Amino acid sequence: MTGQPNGEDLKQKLSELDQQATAEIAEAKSDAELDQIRVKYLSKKGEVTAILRSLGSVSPDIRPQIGALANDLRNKIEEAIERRKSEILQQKIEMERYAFDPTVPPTRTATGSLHPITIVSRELEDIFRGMGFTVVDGPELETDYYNFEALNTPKEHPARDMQDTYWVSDILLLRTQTSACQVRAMEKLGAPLRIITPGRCFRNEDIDASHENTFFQLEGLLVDRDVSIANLIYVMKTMLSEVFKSDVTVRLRPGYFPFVEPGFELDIKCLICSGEGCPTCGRSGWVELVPCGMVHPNVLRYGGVDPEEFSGFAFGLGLTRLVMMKYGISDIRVLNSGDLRSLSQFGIIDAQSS
Amino acid sequence: MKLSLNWLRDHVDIDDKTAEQLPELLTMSTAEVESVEHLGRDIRNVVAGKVVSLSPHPTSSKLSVIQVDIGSEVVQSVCGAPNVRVGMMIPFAPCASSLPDVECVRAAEIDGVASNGIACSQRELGIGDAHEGVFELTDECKPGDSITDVLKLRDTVLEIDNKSLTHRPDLWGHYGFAREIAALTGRPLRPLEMSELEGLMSADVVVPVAVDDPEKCYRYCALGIEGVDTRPSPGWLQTRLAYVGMRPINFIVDLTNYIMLELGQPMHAFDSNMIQAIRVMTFGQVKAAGYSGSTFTTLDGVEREMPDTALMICNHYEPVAIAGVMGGENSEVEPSTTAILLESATFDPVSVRRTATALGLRTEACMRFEKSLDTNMALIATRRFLYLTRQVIPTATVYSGLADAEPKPTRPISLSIDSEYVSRYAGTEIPPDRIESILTSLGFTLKRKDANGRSATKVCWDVEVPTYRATKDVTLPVDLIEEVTRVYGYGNIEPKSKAVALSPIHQDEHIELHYRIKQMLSASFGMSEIHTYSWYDKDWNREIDHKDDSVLTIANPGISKYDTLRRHLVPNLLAAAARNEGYFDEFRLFEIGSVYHPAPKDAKTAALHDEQAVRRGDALRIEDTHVCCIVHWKGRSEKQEDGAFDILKQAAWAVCEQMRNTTADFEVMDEQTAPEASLSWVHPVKRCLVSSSGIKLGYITVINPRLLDRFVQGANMAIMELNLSAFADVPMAKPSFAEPPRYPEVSLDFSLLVDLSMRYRALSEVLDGFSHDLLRSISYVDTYTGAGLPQGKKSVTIAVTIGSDDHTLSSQEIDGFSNAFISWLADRGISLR
Ligand SMILES: [Zn+2]
Repeated sequence: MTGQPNGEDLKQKLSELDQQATAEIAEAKSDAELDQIRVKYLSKKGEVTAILRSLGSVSPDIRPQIGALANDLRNKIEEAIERRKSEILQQKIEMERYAFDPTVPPTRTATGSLHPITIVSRELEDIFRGMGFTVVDGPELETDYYNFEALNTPKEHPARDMQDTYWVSDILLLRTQTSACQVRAMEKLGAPLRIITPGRCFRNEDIDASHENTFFQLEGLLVDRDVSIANLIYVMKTMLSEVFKSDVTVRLRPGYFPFVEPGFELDIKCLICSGEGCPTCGRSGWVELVPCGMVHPNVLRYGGVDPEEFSGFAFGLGLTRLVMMKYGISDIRVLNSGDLRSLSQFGIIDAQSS
Repeated sequence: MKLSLNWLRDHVDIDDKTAEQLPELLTMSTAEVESVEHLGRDIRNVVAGKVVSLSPHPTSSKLSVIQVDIGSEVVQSVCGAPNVRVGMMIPFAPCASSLPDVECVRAAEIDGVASNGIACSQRELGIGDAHEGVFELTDECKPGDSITDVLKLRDTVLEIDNKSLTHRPDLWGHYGFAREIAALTGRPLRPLEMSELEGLMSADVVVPVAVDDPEKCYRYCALGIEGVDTRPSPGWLQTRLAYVGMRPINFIVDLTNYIMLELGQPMHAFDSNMIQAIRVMTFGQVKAAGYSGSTFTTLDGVEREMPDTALMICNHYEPVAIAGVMGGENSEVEPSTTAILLESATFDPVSVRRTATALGLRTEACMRFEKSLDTNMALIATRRFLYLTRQVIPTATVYSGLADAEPKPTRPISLSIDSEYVSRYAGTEIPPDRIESILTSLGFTLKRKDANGRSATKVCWDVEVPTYRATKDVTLPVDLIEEVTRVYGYGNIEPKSKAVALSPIHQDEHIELHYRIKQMLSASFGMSEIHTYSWYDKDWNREIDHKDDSVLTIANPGISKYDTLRRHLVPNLLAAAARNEGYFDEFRLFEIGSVYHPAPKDAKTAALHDEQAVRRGDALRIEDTHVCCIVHWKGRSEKQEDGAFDILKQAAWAVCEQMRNTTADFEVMDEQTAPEASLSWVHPVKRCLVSSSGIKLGYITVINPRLLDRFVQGANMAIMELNLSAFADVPMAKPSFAEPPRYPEVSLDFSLLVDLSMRYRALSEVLDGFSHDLLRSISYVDTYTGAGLPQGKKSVTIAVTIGSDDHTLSSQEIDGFSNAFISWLADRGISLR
C-alpha cells in the first residue's frame, strides 16, 4: 500500500491500538510497566503519536475526524494509565493493611548504662546546684590532717574509734568520710561558701549484705554570716523533699561528731509506712538518714575562717544508702560487683523511682 | 551502755508515764536509745524458801533431796547443787510458777524421787551466768516472800548507743543520766548519799601516794579500808549489775564496778597486804628504777609486753596495775582478803587510750578514762564507796586515811553568753528565762551581767561550767548552745530559709566533665559503668602476670591480698570482664576512678620540706583519675579486632572533645620509650598511644593474646586506659567558626598504592607537603589490603576536597587539579591503584 493512508485503515488501526493498550494497561502490575506502556503509545516515537504525525498526509476531509479520534485515544490511554496506577497503589495499601505489623519490637542497638551511684549523685548535684552550691571533689587517699586533725579529731581522740581506718602510712589514709573536704574547700574558696562534695569513702570492715568497706557519701558545707540551726533544718528538708519527690518530715536529735557543735542525727519520717512503723524503719516510724551539725569553731579556724564572723552547717549524706533506698537494693555488694546482670538495668537516666 | 530504770529511780523520780516516754525523751534530747528490755516480767510465783532438811538421793550420788519451807507449805525437791545446805535461804520455783526459760514448772520424778519445784541458780533467774550452785539469798527475807521483790527483779533496761556518748564522760554512769532526766522532766535530782570527808580522814595515811608522772596522772586518791570480806553482794546489787551486763563476783569487786556504772568513775581495789606505798609512774620510769623484765601480768592471768610509755601503779617500784586499764594478778582481791586499798584516780585520757590500744585491751575502765574524766569525781567516788560499803558491812573502818595527790585538778570553766547570741545561732527566739532554767537544771551556774534586768531584750550571763562537763565537752560558748537547744527541743525550731547575696557560683570542672564522659561512653558507645575496688586482688594480678614497681600499700588491709592500691584500672576491670563473660558474649565496660602511686622520689625529697605539701599529701602520693574501657566480644577475626580498636579510638576522640574541645592523636607505641608496652595485657602490635595537644593521655590495645587463656574460650577484648588528670596540661581549644563555602566544593577520591608497612601518620605527613590554590582538605577514607594488589602494597583511599572562594569550579579546573596532584604524587613514588 502506497500513497495517502486510507481513512478507514487509520480508524481500524486506532481501534486496534485502543484494544491493545486497554488490554496491556489492565494487565500491568507496576508503575514501571505502565510507564513503558505510556512510552510505547504516547511518547514522541509512540504508536498513537505516529498516527497523529501522519495526519499531514491524510486527505483534508477526513483529517479532523481522524485527528479527533487519535486525540481521544491518547487521552483515554493517559487516563487509563493513571487509573491503573491508582488501582495498583490501592492494592498495595490494601495488602499492607493486611500484612503490616506495627507491634513488632524494634531491633535493639547495644545501650550502655550508668552506675546507680552516678545517677543519684548527679541528681543530688543538680538539686544542690539549683540551691547555689558548688560541686567540688577531693582526694580519696587523704591525709590524717584533713580527715581527722583539722576536723577537731586529734590523734587519740576516742571518736576515731567510730571509723575503722585503712592506713597507708602515719600520714596517709583512705578517707573515712567526705567531710575531709571541708577544710580543703574552706582553704581554697574562703567564706562565705556553699559546697557539696560527693565521693568514695572507705572503712575497714568485713563485707556482708549490709556492710561495705567502700561506699559513697555526699558532704555538704555552708558557711556564711549568721547561719542558724533553723537554716540547717530548712535546707535539709528542702533538699530531701526534692530527693524523694515528696514533702518529707524531718526531725533532729542529738548526734555526736567532733567537727560539729551541736551535732545532729537527722531522721526522716518513714516514707514506706508514713511513720506508722514498719520493718524498714525498725517499727520506729523514722529512718536515720543524715548526720549533720553546726560547724565547730575549731574547724572554721582550721579552714582559715573567723568563727567570730562566720558560722555554718555541714551534713553527710550516705549516697550508697540513698541509692539502695531509691532502687530497693537489699544487698550492698551489688554496687561493687561489676555484675552487668544487675548494673546494666539502670540505664543512663534517673529512674525517677522513690 | 545499759541503764537500769530502778537504778535511775534511786536518783530522780520517774513515774510510770515518764518511764514509758523515756526512750523517746532521751533519744530526742540526750543520746540514742537503741533498745528497751523489760526484765523480770516472766518470773511468777517464785519465792524465797528455807532449806529445812537435806538427804542424799537414794540412787544418784550427785543429787540430794531437800525439803524447802516456802511459807505456805514445805515442798520436796531434788537438787543437784553442791552448795545446798540446811538453813540456807534460796529462790524456789514451786509447781505452776514461771521462770524466764521455763514457762510453767511442773512436778517431776527424778531417778524415782518426786520433785515439786526447782531450787534456782542465778542463771535460771536471768541474773547472770552462774549455774554451778543454788543462789544463796543474803538479803533480808522470810520463806514465801516473792523473789521478784527480794531481788528487785522487775526492771526496765535501756541500751544507749555508746557512739552518742563519746563526748560525755558524765553520761558513762547512771547518775549523769539521772541528771539529764531531771533536767528534761523538771524534777529534782537527789543529792548523792556519801560518807563525810572527815570520815575518810579518820585514820592517818599509812599508804602514801606519790605521782612521778604528773602529766599522765591528774589525781590519785587512795583509801585503806579494813574489816571487809569477799562475801557475795546483796541480791538487789547483783541483779542490777547483771542487768546492765556486769558479772557479779564478790562484794568488794562488785562495789567498784557498781560505782563505775553509777558515777562513771572507774575504781580498783588492791588486797591491802600487797600495798605499802603507791607510786604512779611510767613503765619506762619503773625500769629506770631497777625493775627487770618487760612484761606485766594482769589479773586475767595474761602476761603482757608493756610499752615504756604505759602508766603503771606501783607498790614502791613494783608494778601492781596498769593505770586506767587493768589491775595486776599480784595484788588482786582474794577470797581471804579482809582489808583493801581503794584506788580512785584520774588519768590522762590520751595515755590510757594509747596503752589500751597498744595492749589490745579495751576495758570498761579505759573506755571511761579516755573520755576525759573530772578529777573531782575521784574523791566523790571514794566517799560513795565507803558509804555503800558501810550499808552492807557497818563495821568497815578506815585503816589508812585518804591519800590524795592531785597534780592537775579539773577546774570549772567560765563562759559568757547572751540571749541574742543563743537565739541567733538557734534561728529562733528562746526566752532568757528558759535559757536560764535549762542550763541551771543541767548543773550550770548562771550570773546575769545585765544591769537592766529582766526587762531588757538582751540578757548577758557569766556561766560557770560544772567540772563534770568542763573536761572537754563544754569549753566554748557554742557548746552551751547545744545544751540549751537540745533541751529546748530541736522540734521547736521552725525551718528558716537563708537570704544570701547573689553571686556567681564557680563550679569545679572535674565532676561535671567526668559526668559528661560517663554519659557519652554509656549513651554513644553502649558501655556500662561499673565500680571496682581501689585496691588490687593480688591473686588475680598473678593470674594476669601483672606487677607494679612502685605502689602504695595499706598497712592494715584486713585481707592481705587486698593490700595494694591500684595504679591502673585495667586489672580490676579485666576481673569484672571475666566474671561477666559467663553471662554475656558481648559487652562493654568502663570505670572512671582514682589510681594511686607514691610521689616521685626527687619531688618527694624537695616537697618534704614544704609543710603544706606534706599536710596536703602532695609530697607523698599522686592520685589521678583514670578512665578505663573494655570492649569484649566473642570471635577472633581481624575485622572484629580492628573494629573494636576503632570503637576505642572513637571513644578517645570523644573524650578529648568533651574535656578540652581538642582531638586525639594516635601514635605508635614504642617499646623503648613507652613503659606501657611492657604491661602484660598490652598487645605486641595492635596498640597505640593516645595523646592530645602533645600531652600523653594513655593507650589503646587489643588484649595480649597470651592472656586469653584466662578467659572464656573464643573471647577477645580491646582495652583503653586514659589519665583524665593529664588533661590539666592540655589547653582548652577555643570554639571556632568558619563560613560555609559560598561556591560548591568538589570531593575527589584517590586510592594510593603505598608500602604495606607505611603508617597513615607517615603518609599524612607526606601529603601535608602538597599545596594548591584549590586544595581545601584531605581526609582518610579507608585502606584495602585484599587481592589484586602488587606484592607488599596496600591501597589507601583518601578524599581530597577542592573549591574556590569566587566561582564554581569548571571541569577543566577539576581535571587540572587531579593531574597536578597525581603528578605530584608520582614525583614522590606514589602511584594510583
Ligand atoms: Zn516504716
